[in-house]
Amino acid sequence: MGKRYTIDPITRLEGHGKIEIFTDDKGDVINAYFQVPQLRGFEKFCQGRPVEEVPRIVPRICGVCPEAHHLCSAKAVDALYHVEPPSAAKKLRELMYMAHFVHSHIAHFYALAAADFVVGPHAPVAERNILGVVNKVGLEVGGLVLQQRSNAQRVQEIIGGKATHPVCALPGGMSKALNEDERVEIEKTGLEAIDFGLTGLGLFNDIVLKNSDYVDLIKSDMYSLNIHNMGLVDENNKVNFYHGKVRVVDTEGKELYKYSPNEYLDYVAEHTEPISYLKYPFLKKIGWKGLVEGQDGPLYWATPLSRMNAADGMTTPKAQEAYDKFYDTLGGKPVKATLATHWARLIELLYAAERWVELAKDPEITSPEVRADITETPSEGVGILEAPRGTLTHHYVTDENGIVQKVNLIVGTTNNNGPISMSIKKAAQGVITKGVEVKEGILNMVEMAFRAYDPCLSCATHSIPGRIPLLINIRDKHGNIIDTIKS
Amino acid sequence: MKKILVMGLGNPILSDDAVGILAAKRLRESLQHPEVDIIEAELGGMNLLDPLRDYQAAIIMDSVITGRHPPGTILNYDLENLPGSPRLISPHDADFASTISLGKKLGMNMPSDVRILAMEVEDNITFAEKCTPKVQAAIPQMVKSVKNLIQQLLNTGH
Repeated sequence: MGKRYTIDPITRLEGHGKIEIFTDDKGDVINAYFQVPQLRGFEKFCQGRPVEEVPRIVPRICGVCPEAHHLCSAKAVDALYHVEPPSAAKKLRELMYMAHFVHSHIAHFYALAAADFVVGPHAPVAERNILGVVNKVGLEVGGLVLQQRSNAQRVQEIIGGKATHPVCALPGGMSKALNEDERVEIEKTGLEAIDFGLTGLGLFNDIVLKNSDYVDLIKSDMYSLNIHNMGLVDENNKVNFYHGKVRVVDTEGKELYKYSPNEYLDYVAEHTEPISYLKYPFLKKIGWKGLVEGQDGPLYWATPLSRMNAADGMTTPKAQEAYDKFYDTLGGKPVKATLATHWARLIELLYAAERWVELAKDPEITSPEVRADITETPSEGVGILEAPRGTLTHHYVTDENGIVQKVNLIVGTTNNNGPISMSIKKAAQGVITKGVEVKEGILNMVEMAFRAYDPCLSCATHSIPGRIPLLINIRDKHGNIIDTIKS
Repeated sequence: MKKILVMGLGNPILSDDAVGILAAKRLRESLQHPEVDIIEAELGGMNLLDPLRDYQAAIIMDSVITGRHPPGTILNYDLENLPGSPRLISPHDADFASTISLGKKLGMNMPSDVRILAMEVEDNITFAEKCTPKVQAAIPQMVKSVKNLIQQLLNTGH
């Protein structure tokens, strides 16, 4: 008789985040879906408001990446007003954004990902957390984690006006320039961030790469996915989080497309599956073929790993060195190992820190010229940048007075809805088979497949910051619960 | 060490999710005490560490959907009985109990007494600047509850 396993990672909020695993009569996994309820009514909330208010509203869409939404919105509004911010304004935005990446990637790696490797995927739940990590790697690293996050937060506060919900970017530029005292402080903490980025890669090297079991796990088929890769690149096809064009590189490492933000609708479309209310973005020119892997398939991922796969390298020296080692170790480009996303995230952390220092040292960064005049009539604009969790798109249409008529967003995690479901299915197929008792450690192996994506469950600011229970309902094919496992 | 921090959490444009923030605002209008600081925060995870530092006690006001109580019900929790089963990994960051434990482990002065007042809410996924009627009507009760809790903490020597 077929079974259905439901992994509900945050049941304290009803209906939030769920994994459904279906088995056939033999007990083998036949399908898996990742589901999250999406916040609703955002377009309606924005309609009728002046578009220049939107960059100050969007940071509240998501408590984990407010800076990404703020700056993506600002880029869309620049485009909508047909205005090009001055060079110093763009650099200031990017500088703030590098601090955001450092802040975000630290949280994911140390609070979430590290536990699976540092204390082990089968360790008791009570130890598989940041406290367990600190117990293993030492208090010094724990202190550094908090200090570096605090430093990154400070940079966001200096430039953004507020530490968590920035208000600095305006149509055509920034609301204020950076002064020399602030610049000196930012440069100093940036240098510390580089050291910390290297520390992270050192830890990954010692704990993960020197353990052949972990390397085998990373390279294993159950944690791999053969799909296309999306990422923003600069004019030399190097990774860039703020500027540039979207590049899509196929499963063999060849460029499929490279397009400007305002062309995104020619390249990306969204499919809706009956099983889920989620949208599954896919490459429009290939066409929807279902949740299938392969060179002919329409799916892409938009993650730290795909950003590196979609680019020809990094612009900063230490990150480039790490990039080379990454591909040397994992057998060349493109890397298809989902769990390597954690390593890619650490390389991005180092890149963001190096770029932070580059920008802080740029003589133009303290220029008072941070705002361009707006002279054109507003109409329509698209902004795209790389959010920590994937390519982020904001698209607005206004009337001639700049009053919002239409809003369309594709957030980082949405790009990955299809790949996450496929990764869960493969991991589940790897660990759940007939005759194997499905215990918590087994389900953690399934969770690891989606944790690599750090999927955004829209929950960071609007809930009790409580614990995450794991509930698995085992159902027969009629939907009756025949067993329940709680972690 | 400062005495008591009261922190209202939430998202002000996500319907009922704003309830912690609205209650904190309401509390500030009617309570001024030299040993009580009242703040509103749109934060989560390890970002909560800094505001909590150096207080002897903290009261968090927030929303929750357990599905087991009518909207507007005010629930009391502490770090030991936060809703959900005892799993310590959050979707993006360290959870609340781990955050406080981490702060203590790293030698920070963290509150020794942490209370959580949570209102059962109806809708926290629709963008709107208004709460649903039952939740809106229960805000005065939330303020009353937090005042009682503050009094208890003051009486016990915090």
